[in-house]
Amino acid sequence: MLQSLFDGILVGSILSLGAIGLTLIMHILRFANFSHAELISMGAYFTLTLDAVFTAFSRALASKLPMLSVSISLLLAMLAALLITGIAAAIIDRLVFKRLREQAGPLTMVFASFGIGLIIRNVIGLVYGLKSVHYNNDIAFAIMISSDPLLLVKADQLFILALTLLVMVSLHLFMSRTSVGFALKAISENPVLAQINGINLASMVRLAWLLGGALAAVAGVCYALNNQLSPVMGRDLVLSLFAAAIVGGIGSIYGAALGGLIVGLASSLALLVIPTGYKPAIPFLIILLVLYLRPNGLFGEER
Amino acid sequence: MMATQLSTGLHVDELTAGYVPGMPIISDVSLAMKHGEIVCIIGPNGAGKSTLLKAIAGLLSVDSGTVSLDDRVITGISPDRLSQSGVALVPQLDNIFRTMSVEQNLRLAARRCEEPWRQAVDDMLTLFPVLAERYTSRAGSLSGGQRQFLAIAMALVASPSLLLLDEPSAGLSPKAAQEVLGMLPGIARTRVAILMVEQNVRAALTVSDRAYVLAEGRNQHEGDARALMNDPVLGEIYMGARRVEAHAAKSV
Repeated sequence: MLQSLFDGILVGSILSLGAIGLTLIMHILRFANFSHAELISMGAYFTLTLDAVFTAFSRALASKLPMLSVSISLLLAMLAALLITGIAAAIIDRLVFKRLREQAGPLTMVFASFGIGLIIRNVIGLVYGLKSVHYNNDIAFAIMISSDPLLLVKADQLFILALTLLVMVSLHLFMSRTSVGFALKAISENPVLAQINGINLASMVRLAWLLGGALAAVAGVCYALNNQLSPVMGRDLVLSLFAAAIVGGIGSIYGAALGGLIVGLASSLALLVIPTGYKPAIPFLIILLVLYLRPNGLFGEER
Repeated sequence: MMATQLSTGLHVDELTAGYVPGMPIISDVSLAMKHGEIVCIIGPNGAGKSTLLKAIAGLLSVDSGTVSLDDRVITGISPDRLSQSGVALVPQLDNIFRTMSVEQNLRLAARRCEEPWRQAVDDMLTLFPVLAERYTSRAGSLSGGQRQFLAIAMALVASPSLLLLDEPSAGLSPKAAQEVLGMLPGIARTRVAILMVEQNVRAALTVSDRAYVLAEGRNQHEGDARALMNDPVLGEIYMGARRVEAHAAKSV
């Protein structure tokens, strides 16, 4: 039970990071972006490449942080990858979604997002191969925190939890203390009113893609650290991400963070009572339950 | 109908605009007003009154015609840039950010200010003491009248030269509506031009200097607000008779 709780919180915190970008874009641009999960894969693989580049540049960067399998070069690679993934997300919007929202409608954008997702997934498979890989092949030993009830925790997992917490707190401070954060919240809540209050819609949309892409990249690295890198990792996460965004209420950043935790915990705890094969059904059940009880999600506003 | 020419202030000349390019809601609408004046746009439902305000505020595409403010053509300028150039719109609905606090709403609106936001926000709290009492409250929890005060404060915080009000008394109690409309002459005295759309015709004409009457997206009549209050033409336009005559005369 305790182990399931820990695993649920870990997976949930990774889902939260991915769901925040998804919910922002869904709310501001009024379309369900099914390619968002592929940004997670993109960020994870960019980190893999940049890690190799940085390590080749200086062997000193390959040294591991104490107790962790995470190297300095991996941290630097992640920082660079979150910027690159954010820019890539903004470029995808500029090349594809911007044209579609001006000339077509939300439904066309949804179908286009499926296409973009397929392209990203297959390009990753083409470049990196279809086999799963790890950031490093060292064996990460788990520490026994408690024997009864059993709780095994890897140092990397504590690192992931600390990292996601740091990102969440930073995001909270950005959204609640800065005028740019207010502006992003305003555009998310009411784009027309935000514009007549002097906020430039196009620049805020770009910022939302940048932010969403960057958070997805962090989520990708965390997911890969906890599991492994695979071209289909985005596909495997997409339903859970949507469940997290819907549970939290579309447009609510805090809702997405909580939604991610709920989906992660529910999926993990459900395995105590149902066979593993039914695990993919859990996000669907959560979506159904929340939509039945609160059609606008936990933090969603009626529109 | 050509608007009276004034040297400064707002000039709308033969404006044709709508929600879809090529399908205008308003056609060849003209009006003019100077700073410190309160002008109301009245007319039956579907006359295009709110559309006119949105077109002036840059929210709709303009098919033809021009809008100029203080001799500067502002047609086609994006709403965010217009709001930084002295044009402030208070929409009829959804005119505050409900999930944010009163403070956050005002700070957000004060991004347009040249002066430090603190001073501008303090000025608004002095003008609207009720907002000072609810400063940290969630805007969505305010009463209808308080919300309208907040919306107007958000528009005024950047010291606009043109204030566009879309149905400021809609959905308010009679007392709150009276309070909102009653403060407009005071705002106008600070050299702000106030262009207002209002369904409550009598109340609007009471606080306005002049009025334009729109029907079916076109200018139908204009005049001094107090004179219009007793003008039988107004009733005819609302009932449709006057419009039929105007169209008949045009087709001949």
